[in-house]
This record gives sequence, structure tokens and C-alpha cells, in this order.
Amino acid sequence: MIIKEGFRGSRRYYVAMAGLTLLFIYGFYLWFFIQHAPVFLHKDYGGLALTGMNDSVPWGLYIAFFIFWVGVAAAGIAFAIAAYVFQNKEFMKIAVLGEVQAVAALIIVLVLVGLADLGRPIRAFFELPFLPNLRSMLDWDFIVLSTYLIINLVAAYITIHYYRQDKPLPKKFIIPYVVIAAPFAIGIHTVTGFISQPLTARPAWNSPLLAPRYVATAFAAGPAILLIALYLAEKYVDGFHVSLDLYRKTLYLIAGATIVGLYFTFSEAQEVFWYTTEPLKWWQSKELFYGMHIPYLAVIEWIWIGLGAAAVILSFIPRTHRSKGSIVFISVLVVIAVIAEKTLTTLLPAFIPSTLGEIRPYYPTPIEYGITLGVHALGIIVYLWLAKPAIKAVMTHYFKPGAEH
Amino acid sequence: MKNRLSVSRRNDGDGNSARVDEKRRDVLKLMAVGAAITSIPLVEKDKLMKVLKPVKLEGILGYPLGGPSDSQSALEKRAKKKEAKLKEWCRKEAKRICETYGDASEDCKLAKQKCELITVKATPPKKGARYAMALDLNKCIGCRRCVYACVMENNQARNLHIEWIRVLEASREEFQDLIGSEWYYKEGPKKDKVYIPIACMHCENPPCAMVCPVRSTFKEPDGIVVVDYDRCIGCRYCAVACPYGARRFNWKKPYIPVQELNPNMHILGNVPRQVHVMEKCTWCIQRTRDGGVPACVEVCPVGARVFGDLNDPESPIRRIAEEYGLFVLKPEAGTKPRFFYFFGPARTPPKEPMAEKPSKNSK
Repeated sequence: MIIKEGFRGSRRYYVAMAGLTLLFIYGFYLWFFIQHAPVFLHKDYGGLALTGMNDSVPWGLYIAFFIFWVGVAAAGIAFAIAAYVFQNKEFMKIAVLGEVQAVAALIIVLVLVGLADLGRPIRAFFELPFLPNLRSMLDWDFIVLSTYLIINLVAAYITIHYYRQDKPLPKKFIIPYVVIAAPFAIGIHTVTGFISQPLTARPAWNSPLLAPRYVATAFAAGPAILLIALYLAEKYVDGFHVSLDLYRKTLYLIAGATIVGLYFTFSEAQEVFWYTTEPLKWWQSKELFYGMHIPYLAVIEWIWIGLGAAAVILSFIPRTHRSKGSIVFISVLVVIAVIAEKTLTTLLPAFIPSTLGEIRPYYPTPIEYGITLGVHALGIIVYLWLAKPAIKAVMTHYFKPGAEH
Repeated sequence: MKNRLSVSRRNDGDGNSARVDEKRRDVLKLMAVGAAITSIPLVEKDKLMKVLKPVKLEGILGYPLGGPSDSQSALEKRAKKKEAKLKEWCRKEAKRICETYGDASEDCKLAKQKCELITVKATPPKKGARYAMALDLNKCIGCRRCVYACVMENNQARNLHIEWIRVLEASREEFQDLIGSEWYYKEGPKKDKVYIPIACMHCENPPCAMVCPVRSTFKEPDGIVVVDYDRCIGCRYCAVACPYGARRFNWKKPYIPVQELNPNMHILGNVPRQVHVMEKCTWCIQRTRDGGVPACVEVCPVGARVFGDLNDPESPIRRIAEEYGLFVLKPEAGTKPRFFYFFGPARTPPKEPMAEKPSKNSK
């Protein structure tokens, strides 16, 4: 039923889905027939050499967006906690949307890191389940991400199942769900941070602050994206509306998380620039803040700091709290700021200069953009596909005409 | 399935290899009995009893099961299969070369010769050995002959310009600040510089082995950190984790002209790699496990390199350690490398700048 629901909709919906499907098919074509042609089709052309990555910068755009979307997936839990732990009626209406967002984000993540970026993905599929290396955080990442995906799929399905029949969610679902999913949500982004943190080879990452920094900015970007999605849902779905109070409370969370993220950046800058630090770390931080060899990196980092501060300051002004539009505007600022902070600016300083001081400026190539766009299109398709039945179910249960809820 | 059966002995230093073989043995036994049972259409008691009688599974499967010695034969089987495939590939390439250059050309003769000589070994580690290498920084003149010998010995991809060894030119006072060093020096050796060749350090605590999600990189009992090319999934996490930048990735389909092939191969060493897998220095495992020394040690014109067994008191590396003392690069990375450096007693004289000579052609 959930699957079939995705095929019905207005003309605008069809056009959007058709466009996204085309993007996804193009991205898949680029990946299968060009970038991975030597692996799947045994051709002599192609290969990951077509990307901007090299031995000095072995991870690029794919892993950059992997880090960002794991954060977004983790932050969906904030709404579940507000709904089920704090028992806020308005948040109960949109908790399922948080789960749908987590599913969509995790699909993007698993396709990016498991298919687009891996050199030989089919081998991974067979080898990982049979002989994993549990000292490798990447294995833990696969385990935790797949489990969290299943948890959210099951939770979304159960929620839709109950709401469709206009029944409230039973405690025997809510309590286990919150108890299991909440630590898992923090866990998935912690594991992502732990992938990068312990490597003494990369001083820019080798600090215990990396995983907390990830989680903080995740709780800024995730709820912000959900607010944007909610705003669009209210606009395009007849009869679906949520209170301004929900937007306001989420704004508090977003602003708080952004403040923490900015504070972490400030702390990292002090450690490097106040006195002195390990030479490689100092050079890597100079690349990040001053953009010595890759100017665009510094631009993006200062966009994070500037937009983040702007969003926080705007959220202090009482006038912005009075309309959904202004709150969503602040959310957009936060999303752009966190994308700026968490994608290439987290990844590249660890690689430029490299461990022995080699500087190979990384510029993503068109094929990387194409494949990344295709994967994002797939994520949005999944989001729309699952959000439709979810919102419909919520409306069935919470928006009964004349009923006071 | 194929990949599972071809999993060779794993030793990640925690003694896990026996556990892997046991599990594999049990699953294979179940598979074999299940296959035997389901192949009987009607369950007749005699036939069933024949199947359920303890049989030598080795007979059914064609190769023995059990402890480490058997997983060695699994590696050898892989090596033999690889040899057959390589010979086939080589012959195709040789045919193409002979068609292009003519049957009488040097290239054609060389190519055909190489194809016949191809041997893929699966030599096990020597018991009780723990190899290490040392390099005399006073002697090294930065000539890069070791780099090129390594490329030729280990069948590195020519189209990707892969070079397992990197040579850095650094100042003599602050060479430990590797960031300030020069990679692309054009001439030398200069008086005020020291030349530092860097390749895989074969660490005691290798971060690449820690992070490999499929255990395709591991430290063997004789100290060599190897890459199993048939297992590598190309995630490049090991390249991210290595503090010495020792890992090379095959970003495109690698190409070696078969005239330049080194036919003396080891399955975990210099067998030609596939696209999208990692590779790195293997201390010429195809040579050292048969009692030789790596190609870089052999070719060095000033004798700057030393290779030996740390557990053998007579080995040259122990003598160097006792006489000169050894240090490592980046000890703060905590990986405990086994590629040491030292400053020996005599410096190879650096090149004096040539005196200005009146020359006929203007430059």
C-alpha cells in the first residue's frame, strides 16, 4: 500500500518525480557505464581516475556528502524524542516524518559510500558479512547504518499502519522504539566520527572533538531540513497544517546546535593558531582557514562561520519567531552553513597537505557532481514516496474534522 | 561463494586464523552433506546410509580441509589458478605484440619468453623470522634507482605512473619536518640536503590493517604487511590511515607491457593487479621468502639499504642496530615502523657544482 501510494498524485508530483528519476538514471548511467566501467563491463576506459581523487586525496565528494547525510539521518530522532518522551502533541504529528527523513538520508548514505565510492562494490557485498574486521570503524558503520535503516523503515511502517486506521500508537511500540532508536541515532553519527578520529596519520581529524562536532552540526541541519520539508508539505498538501509553536521549538534546537557547532570551530582554531601545534596540523588548518592552495576551501569555511552566526543572531530577534516563513528562512541558512562545514571543509584539510606534505588541490570533476546529484535525486524520490502515505496517515488520525486533538 | 572458498590463511596477530578455518570447515561440511542428501530423489535407506556414513569430505571437495597447513594449499591453489590465467593473458598480449611489431622483433621474442617463464608462487613465511629494513641517510644520493628497480621488479602499472617508493629531499638540520621537503628535485645530490626514500614501513601496529573492512591487508608472521588483491574492495580507507602515504591505488585499469613483465611472481606480491585495488611495497616477497633481498637493496649503487631478520643475531640489520642505532620517521604516529633510518659513519660525497666551462653552443 505504501508502495502503491507513491504512484498516485497530482500533476505537479508526477513532474517532480519524473525529473528526479531522470536525474537518478543519469547518475546511475555515469556510475555503471563510465566510472565503474572497468569493473562491471571490463572496459579499458573509465575508472575512479575520472574523479578528482588521487593517492594524496583518496576521499572526495562522495565521502563528504556521506558525512553530511549521516548527520541528517541521526537528527530525525529529535522529533521522536519530543513526541514520545516529552509527549508533545504537535510533535507526535511529525515524528513519522523524522523517520521518513532518516530512511531517505540513509539511502543516500549507503548508496554513496557503498556503491558510488567503493572500487569493487560487489566484492564488498559478499565479503563484509562473512569476514568483517571489527577493529575497522567502517565495518561498524555498515552494521549500524543498515540496522538504523531497518529500525526506521519498520517504525515508519508501523506508525502508518496505526494512523491509517485512526488508532493511536501503542506504548508497546513507542517505548522500545525510543529506547532502541535514540542511542542508535547518536551512535550512527558517532561511528562516522570514529572512522576519522583515531587516525594519527591525519592530525586535522585526530582529536576527540570530531565526533561531538559532527553530532552538534547534525542536530542543526537535520531538524532544519525537516522544517523545510514540513513547510513544503503544508503548502502542497491540502488540509495538513502544524502549529507555529512546533516551528519555534525546533528553531530553539537548531539555534542551540549551531551555537555549539560554532563554538567547536572556535575551539579548534584556538588550539592551532594561538601558539603552535604539530606542523602538519598547522598547515592543514591554514589550508582550511586561509585557503593557501585551495582558495575555495577557505571561502566555504568562512561561509559556514558567517552564515551560522547570521542564523543564530537572526534567531535571537523576536520578530523571526512570529512567522513560519522567517523560521524556514533561518533553517535554509543553517542547512547551507552546515553543508559548508561538514562536507569538503571537514574532509579536505586532512588530505591537503598529505601525510608527507604533498599538496594536490582537489577539485571535483563533472562525473562526481553527476553521480552525487543522481544519488541525491534517489534520496528525494524515497523521501517523497514515503512522505505521502505518512502525511496521509497522520491526517487521518490527527485531522479529523471537528475533533479536538 | 567463490570468494569465501578462496579465503587464505588470515593472521591478524590475534591468533584468529584457526577460528576462521574452523568456521569455514563446519560450513563446508554442512554444504557438502546437504548437497549430497538433496541429490537423492527418493530417500532409500541404503543410499541415505551411504551418504550419512562418515566420509572423507576431502574426497568430495577435492582438496584437504583443516588447520593452517591446508589453508596454505588453498593459497597455492589460488596461485596456480592465477598462473594459468596470467599465462593466458600474457599469450594474448604477446600475440598482439607479435602482430604489431613482427615475429622477428625483439619485443615479440621477449614477450613470448616472459610468458613461458611466468610462475606464481605462494611461498609461506619462514618460521621465526621477523624482517626489517634500514637505510643509511648519509649514503643515499637520491638517484632513485631503487624506485625504478622496484617498478620493474614488482610489475607496477606503467599507465598510472605508480611508484611504491618516494624519495624526499630535505634539509639536513630539519629533515624530520617532512612537510618542508622537496619531492620533485631535478638534480643532486646537494651538499646541504639529505635524501629520504619512503615506502611502506611494515609497521608492527599497522593502521592500514586495523582499518581494512574486509581484512584484505594484514601483517604476516614474518613481518611483511601484505595486500590480498583478490579481496580488496577499493574503499581506500587504508590510504587514509597510513601516516607515510605508502599505499597506491589503481585508479584506472593498470597496464604493463608484457615485454617488461617480471615473471617471478608471488600471489601476495607482484602479481599484476586489477583495477580499483590497493597495492604497496611488499619487501619483494617473491624474492625475500626464497632467501633473497628486495630489489631496492640489490640495486642501490652506494649500498645504503640493509634488509635482514631481526630475530637472527647474525643478520646485517642487527649489526647496524648495535653499531649505529636506528630511528624511525613519525614515531608520534604510534605505528612502530619496521623500516629504520640511521646516519652511517661515512657520507657519500655530494656532487660539486660543475665549474663554468666555455662552451660552443649558447645555452
